[in-house]
Amino acid sequence: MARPAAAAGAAPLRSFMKSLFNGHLEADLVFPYPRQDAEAKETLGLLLESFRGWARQNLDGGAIDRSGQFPAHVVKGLKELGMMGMTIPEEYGGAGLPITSYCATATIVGAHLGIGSKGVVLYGSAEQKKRFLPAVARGDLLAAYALTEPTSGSDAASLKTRAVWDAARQVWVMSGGKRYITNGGVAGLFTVFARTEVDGKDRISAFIVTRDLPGVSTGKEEEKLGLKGSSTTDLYLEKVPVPKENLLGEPGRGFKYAMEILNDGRVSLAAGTVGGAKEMIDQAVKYARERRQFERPIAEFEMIRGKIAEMMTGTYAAESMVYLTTGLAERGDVDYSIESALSKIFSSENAWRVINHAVQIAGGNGFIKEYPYERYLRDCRINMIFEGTNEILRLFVTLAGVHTLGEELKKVGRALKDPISQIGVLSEFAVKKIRQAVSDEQLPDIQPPLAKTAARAAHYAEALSVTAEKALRAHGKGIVEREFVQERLAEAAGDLYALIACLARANDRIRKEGAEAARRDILLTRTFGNAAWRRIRRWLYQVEKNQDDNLAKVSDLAYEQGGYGADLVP
Amino acid sequence: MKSLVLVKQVPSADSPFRLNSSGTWIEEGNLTFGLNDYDRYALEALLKLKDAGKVAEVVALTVGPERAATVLRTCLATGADRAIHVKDAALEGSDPLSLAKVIKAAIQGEGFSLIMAGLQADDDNYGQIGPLLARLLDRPSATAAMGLELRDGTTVRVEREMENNRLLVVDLTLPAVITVQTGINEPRYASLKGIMAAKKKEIRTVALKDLGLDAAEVGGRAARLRTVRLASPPKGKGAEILKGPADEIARELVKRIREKTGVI
Ligand SMILES: Cc1cc2nc3c(=O)[nH]c(=O)nc-3n(C[C@H](O)[C@H](O)[C@H](O)COP(=O)(O)OP(=O)(O)OC[C@H]3O[C@@H](n4cnc5c(N)ncnc54)[C@H](O)[C@@H]3O)c2cc1C
Repeated sequence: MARPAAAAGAAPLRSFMKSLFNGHLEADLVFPYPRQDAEAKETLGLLLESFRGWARQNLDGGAIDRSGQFPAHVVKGLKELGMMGMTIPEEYGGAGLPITSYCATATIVGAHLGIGSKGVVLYGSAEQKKRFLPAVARGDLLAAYALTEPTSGSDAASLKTRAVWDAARQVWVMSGGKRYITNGGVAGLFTVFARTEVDGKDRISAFIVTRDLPGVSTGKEEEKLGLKGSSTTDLYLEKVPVPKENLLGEPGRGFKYAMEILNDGRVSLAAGTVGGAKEMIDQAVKYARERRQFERPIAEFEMIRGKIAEMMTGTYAAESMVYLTTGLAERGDVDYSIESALSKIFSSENAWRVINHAVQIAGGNGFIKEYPYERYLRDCRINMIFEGTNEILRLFVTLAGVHTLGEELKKVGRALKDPISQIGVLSEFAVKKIRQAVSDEQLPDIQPPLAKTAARAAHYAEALSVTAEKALRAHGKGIVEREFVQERLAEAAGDLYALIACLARANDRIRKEGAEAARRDILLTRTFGNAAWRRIRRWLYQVEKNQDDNLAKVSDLAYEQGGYGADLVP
Repeated sequence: MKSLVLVKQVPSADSPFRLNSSGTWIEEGNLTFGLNDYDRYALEALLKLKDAGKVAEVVALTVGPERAATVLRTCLATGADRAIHVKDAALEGSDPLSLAKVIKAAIQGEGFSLIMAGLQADDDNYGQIGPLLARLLDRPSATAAMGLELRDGTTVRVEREMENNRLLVVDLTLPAVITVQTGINEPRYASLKGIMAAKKKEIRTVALKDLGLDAAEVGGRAARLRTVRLASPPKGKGAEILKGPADEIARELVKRIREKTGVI
């Protein structure tokens, strides 16, 4: 897989969502919907079949949840099946499957491949790869990703762990502490991010820290709401002499690496939540059809139907986004950071809704441990928090989205001060505006059953960029502080990307297999679209007309009173 | 010693089953397919013999449409050495006798000493292919194997599952055809390594004409057994719901199970 990092310094990578914020619908990036290459698809199919058969006999999620321990025989089984090496390149003993394949089994091998060893795969030297990856692929060396610290979570760049070069010993001496590290208790390899001095400047660098190094230790297992079978611990680094061969990639680029690793991590995480949502839909449908009240299966009641419909459409949209995004990732020539963030936000929140509905449909049983619902609810909650909280990701989406727009506006601003010499820039901008006003850009080759939905999508794509531009003009750089605005633009962008993903997927099926074969895709896309464009309209409208002042005042009220406030009691 | 396992692709049990429009079979559109469960055990039995050095080669064979190639890949990924796929549009609607004839033709000259298959297929439950093939080859056969032991190069000892938890032990002179019951062993699962290695293994595809067979003799047109109807049985009257306190129900249940089966 070619990586954005590899292309650094070359022409800027294309980005579908950045262009969309900018008023351009670069439809060729999403149409036709990416299809997995046939061979990889078959390999994955075989592996999944094998895995499912094995899991039915050997993997008991409920038992893992109750005991809080991942049984040794499960780890052994995963190793034997080769799951630990799925995405590790073939030359190092893995299967070198593309990211799409990994996504389908994301929940299984989680942090090990998703983020833990990704740094070595992406930025490791040939020696580092040879040294670590074969054991990683076999599953003999489990990996973890260590960024978060007690005082640095969302604000990851403020991390304090430091590595100081000791010229005499030719090692980096690393001290600090990491918090909530997945696989902490079992990993032998940690990708650790630490401050370093690079050419006299304070910069973050990435290191491979192995457990056998002196001064490395991990804390007790945290007791958690969910994901109880996974290991989560502190990582302590006390004057650890990290050999210079363990520096990952270039010094000073650690923060960029940390973010890029999460780009992939987020799509995998999103895929995992789609898997969870699908399982819950299966359970809820079965339950609703079997459970009878008022002499009928509860499945027949409209309020149950409504929930099932929402579960289906939301999950279809989430799945469409995930595989569109992995398709973008595999091209190697696009920046898919916004798309992967949007997929993570959308899918994790969809899974939460879906599972919440499933709990409700199961009635009292939904609350009882004998049934799987409550565990799913607990397990899926973390997805809205880790690998970037959904709040932080919303900020990222909008700020990255309007960044290029801002650059363009700056150019125009300069042009306006000196109109004559800058006439070229000005007219380019003017032309763009005129064309935007005259004809909406459309999605190409849209099949008749989707025409109306596609026209809505194109219309709101335009509206997003117009609204973003207005917001940028209104707030300038100050938009950074306007989170209400950023949140709404991110919400609109998320629904829009989801809708375009559904359209691309359904359209592709109609083109290849005909409208009859695609009837389910058409129904789901239209149904999702009808709800989505109304939400987008509302979000964009609220960018300008809202009661943000009141919201701020009410929160101030709470802060001043130190909570709900005794005075409010009637 | 060369060995053969006969496998079939069947709809997965968790697929949504719906009758097709003619009411003779299930609608295929919504189904997902997998390897017939019984066949996994047959394959495992041969792989075990191969691991033990008693069998030199394990070949998997299926008769089926294009999509059926997937189960051959599953077999190869799990450890089979090569595969044969008999594929011909004329074979659609074949009856078991036709299929046995086709298989016989497809393995001519291979010299398999040990031919294994599942006791039956999860979808049509015929359970005939093994015995019919043995008959056509004029070789001995044993069904419902629960144990298997190669005595020497010439005989195989089979423990057959009988009613009432009894085993019938028989010796067959090789070559022989044996169909296995589930539970005879613990089938292994294909590993990623196996899956990658399988890509380099051979799947030979053959059509009727390659076998010197004619659609007038075998296949759908030649079928002498035709499906008339697939239907759910009428709601039985036999079911009885026991009422009363739990301990009484339990006592009554034990009594009846004991009377009926002698198991408890
Ligand atoms: C089970 C588990 C596993 C984990 N695994 C790993 C791992 O393997 N590796 C690793 O490095 N980390 C891991 N983490 C840490 C995780 O990534 C962080 O907890 C997460 O990034 C949030 O950081 P924080 O907990 O410090 O919350 P904070 O950053 O303190 O955030 C608290 C709240 O404030 C919000 N917030 C913060 N800043 C802003 C802002 N500017 N605008 C709006 N809202 C804001 C957040 O969204 C959140 O709602 C794990 C955590 C858990 C619970």
